[in-house]
Amino acid sequence: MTKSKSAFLISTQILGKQSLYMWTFTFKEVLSIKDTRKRWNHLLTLMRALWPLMCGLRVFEMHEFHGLHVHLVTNRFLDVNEARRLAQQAGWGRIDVKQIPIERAAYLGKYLSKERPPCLKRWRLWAGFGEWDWTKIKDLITQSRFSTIYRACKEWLGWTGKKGFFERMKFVAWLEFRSAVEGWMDGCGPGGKPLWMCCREELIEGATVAVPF
Amino acid sequence: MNAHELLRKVCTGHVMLVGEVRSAEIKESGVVDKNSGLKVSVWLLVYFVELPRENGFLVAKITRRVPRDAADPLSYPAGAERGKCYAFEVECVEWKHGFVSARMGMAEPEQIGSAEGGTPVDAPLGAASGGTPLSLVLLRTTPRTP
Repeated sequence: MTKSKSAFLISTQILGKQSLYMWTFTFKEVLSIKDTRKRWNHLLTLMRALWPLMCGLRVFEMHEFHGLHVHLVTNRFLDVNEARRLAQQAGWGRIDVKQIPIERAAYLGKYLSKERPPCLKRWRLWAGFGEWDWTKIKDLITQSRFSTIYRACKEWLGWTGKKGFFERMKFVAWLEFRSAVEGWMDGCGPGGKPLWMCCREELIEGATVAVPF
Repeated sequence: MNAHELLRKVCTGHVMLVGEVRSAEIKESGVVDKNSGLKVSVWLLVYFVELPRENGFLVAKITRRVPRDAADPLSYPAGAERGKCYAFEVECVEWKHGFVSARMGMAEPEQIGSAEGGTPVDAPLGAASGGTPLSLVLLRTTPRTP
C-alpha cells in the first residue's frame, strides 16, 4: 500500500465516525483533463460559498470511457438539488450521491492503487478541502522491519542529509536480509545487541551476500 | 511442481521466480499518523529467496499479503519452508537497493520437484517424466554433435 493511499484511508477515518456521503460528479461529454480541473475548481468555489463549513476529500478518477471525473466524500448532509444547480452552473453533468459506511470509503482508495495514467503525472489524485486537518504524507511514520533497521542505523552511524542515500538503502536492505536469515531482532545485531555495540565481523560472519560496505 | 509444469507456466506468460527459501516469516507493515495516532497496516508474508545464477545467486525479497479475513495473521501458514526450493508466481518485480524485490498475488509458492513422478528442476530439461515433453524442451536438449 502506498503512503498516499494510507494517508487517504486515515483521512476518511478522521473525517467521519459512522457514515459519510459519497458524491460522484461526471460530464455529459468527455473533456480534457485541464478543463475538468478548471470546472472542478469552479464548482468547489461555488459549493464552499454556499456551504462554508463543508469539508471532505476529493478523488480524481480516470474512467476508461468517460474521461476524468470526480468523487467527493463529505461528512455532512448537503442538499442534492442545490448541488445539482451549482453543478449545472459550473458546467457539470450528472451527479450521484449515496450514504456509505466509513469502510466503504476505502473503495475510493482503490483508484489510488491503480496505475496512474501518464496524463495525470504529478497530479494530486486526492486532496482535502475545507477547514480540517486531513492526513498528509509527511505526517506518517512507517512501521516495518526495514524502517526499524534504518532508524537504528541512522542513530548508530549518525546519518544526516541525503548524501549517500542509495548506499545507505543498500546497507539497510542487506541488514534486513541478514536479520531475517539469522533471526535477529529488528534493528539489532546477533544476540539482541544494539547495532552500535556490534563490530563489523559480527555482522558479516557467515554472510553469503556481498557486503555493501 | 516439476520442470515441465514450470516451463509451461513461464511459456503461458506467468512470471516465476525459483530459488531456495532462506527465510519465511510474517511481519506487520504499515503507517501511523503522527497527529491522530490512527494506523493503517497489513500483514505480509516475507520470503527471502536465493535465486541461482551462473556466478552465485541473487537475493530476492518476495512479499505476499496475508488475507484480511485471517483470524490470527501470526499463525497464518507461510506455505514455504526454509532450505527448500520453491517456485513463486509474482505479479511485479523490481530491482531495489541491490536486491530483487517482488510481490506475489494470492497464489501459494509451489515446491519444486514435489509432485509425484515429476522431474526435478535441476534435472536436464526433457528428461523422463510423467507428462509428454514439450517440443521446446526437446529442442533445447538435443545434443549437438560436431
